[in-house]
Amino acid sequence: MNSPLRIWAERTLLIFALVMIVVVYFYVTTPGLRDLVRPHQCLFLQATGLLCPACGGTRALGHLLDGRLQLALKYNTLAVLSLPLVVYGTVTASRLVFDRNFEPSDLKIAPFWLWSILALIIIFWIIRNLPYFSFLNPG
Amino acid sequence: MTDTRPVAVGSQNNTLGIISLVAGIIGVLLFLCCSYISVVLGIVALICGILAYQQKQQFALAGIILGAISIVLGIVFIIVGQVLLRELMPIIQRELRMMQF
Repeated sequence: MNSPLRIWAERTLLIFALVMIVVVYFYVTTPGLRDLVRPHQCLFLQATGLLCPACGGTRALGHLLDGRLQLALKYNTLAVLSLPLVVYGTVTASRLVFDRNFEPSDLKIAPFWLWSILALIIIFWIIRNLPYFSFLNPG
Repeated sequence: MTDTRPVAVGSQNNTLGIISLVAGIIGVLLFLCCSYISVVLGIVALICGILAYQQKQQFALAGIILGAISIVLGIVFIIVGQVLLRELMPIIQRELRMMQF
């Protein structure tokens, strides 16, 4: 990667980390702020009555953080199963910024796997709204 | 305007371009239900798209455009989404109910 982009990325990450520390500090210490921040309702669900692929994701991650894997999988199977992918993406993005020997052109993934992520999300979106696959429906 | 970039051959590495395109498509698909995810995916698509464009990879320009659309839609719907929900949703739901009869 050329160096100006890397420097820019490092600065952005630093500012982001500082902002996150301040936000988390106020979120933890200020009483009443917790009640103001509510997960907002899904517009797609409100408009059409159908579930989107991310519906139930917040509840699933909440249950996962409390160690209830079965409930987490019930609320949003895709969000829980895609967590390793999120970790991989975060590690790769960090390597692009911090590892000076790692160039973007070194990143090689077979196109089939990248397209299958898109296909998986669309298939999950469709089948979780079908009656036969109601176990994917958080209800 | 003629495109002077070389046509992709079988062995060319298009990973960044395809990541950009897929992230852009998912971001645009999800802007209505999860605007925050849409903005994040838009940024991913934009950065990967720019890197891919510098390396003359396939799908780079499509990824940049979809990423930009995804960021704009995501930010707009983060801001107006709740207002839309409160003001317009009863009207849309009533219209949908009328259409079923």
